[in-house]
Amino acid sequence: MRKKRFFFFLLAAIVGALVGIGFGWYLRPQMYSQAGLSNLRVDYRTDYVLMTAEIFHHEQNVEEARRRLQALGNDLPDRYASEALLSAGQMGYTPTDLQYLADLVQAVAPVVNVTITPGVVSP
Amino acid sequence: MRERRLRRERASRAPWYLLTGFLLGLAAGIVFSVWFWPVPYDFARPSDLNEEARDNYRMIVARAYFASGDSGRAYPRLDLLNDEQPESILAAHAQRVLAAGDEKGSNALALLAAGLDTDNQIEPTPGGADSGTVWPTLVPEMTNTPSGILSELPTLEATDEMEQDGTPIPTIEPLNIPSADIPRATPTMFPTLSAPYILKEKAVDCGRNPRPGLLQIWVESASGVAMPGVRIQINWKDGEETFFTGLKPEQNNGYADFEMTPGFMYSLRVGENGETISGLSAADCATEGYPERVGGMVLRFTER
Repeated sequence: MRKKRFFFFLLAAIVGALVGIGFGWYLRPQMYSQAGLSNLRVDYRTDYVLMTAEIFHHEQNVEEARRRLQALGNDLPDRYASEALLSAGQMGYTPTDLQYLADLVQAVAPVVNVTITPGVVSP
Repeated sequence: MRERRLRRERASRAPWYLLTGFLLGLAAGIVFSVWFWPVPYDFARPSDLNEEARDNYRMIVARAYFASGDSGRAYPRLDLLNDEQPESILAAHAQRVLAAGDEKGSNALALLAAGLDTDNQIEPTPGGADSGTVWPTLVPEMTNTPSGILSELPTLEATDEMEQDGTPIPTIEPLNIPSADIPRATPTMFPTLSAPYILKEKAVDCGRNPRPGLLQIWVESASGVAMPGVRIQINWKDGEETFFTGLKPEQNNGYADFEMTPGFMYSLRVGENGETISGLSAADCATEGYPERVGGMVLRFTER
């Protein structure tokens, strides 16, 4: 009798866990109507960065560009710009757009004095 | 008698253990799927955004339009928000932004709203001589919608209200917004010339590189700072490719690489007007004592 009850207890726990996981992985994300810019799909995020690059191209305001990129999340702005440049290349953006993005990457990159050391040239 | 009573008690007892088990499992499942292993939520469309993010998105669309004058991009981008009455939302947003002291943002939103109102349009004076407002014109070359979202963008159909030359006729009458001092869009189709990069070091790499024929490019500024986002164009007999430094930040911000095919000759240029380096090919390591290896090259560029 006890074994039987324990078996059904475990079964109920497993069913409960599956329902909980289903909620967390499937239902909860669909319930998001409160998505922020950080939740944008990669193509929309890339387009957002492109808009930032278009504005930067005309206004040349690095601080504004950084602030706009920072709205995408907690990473450093240059990371968003680099990711967008990579995605834009894969998605076949025009050379002009790629150039805008590249200019933005260059502008928002943190100025760090790093000495370039090419890899080992001889074995 | 006693046994019967016990049996009756047991039967009347609800199976609480089942409910307990279910609730424990449910709690564990929720904790696991929400905190320990949450599904990354990075597939939102602009229409899924919350109000604050929608405002940010709308503003950046307007500012990009304000800067580039490219309505062929701005309106499809705005449509992605699925606003029911975009013109009134834009107008209200422009008012809020103006009240917050951002005149430029307000002007940008006003301009975007003006282009949407097709009922009460005021035809702008050519060149904006009378009103002091210079309206941007459609520039067909600039209306390249990024292909990544092409499938979801509605097309902007030409209407009777649009002039023959494709200039949108904005209306500002129903909107209580300030007149915008919009500069005429002057798209730069060719990137401005950046500082030229010159070859500082060229070496053959016959090391044990897992990628044979790898061309490693390192670009730095005159002061020795690694330069990300520098365009590199490489050409060979049957093709060409363009890529940028900084796409492998784990290596270096000024690093880029390209896999050369043995037997092909390549020429390469770093930046817009940098020196063209010709005669690049996968290195023959036989002279280095490693005939079995296909060597690469290391090029180091610096700003002139």
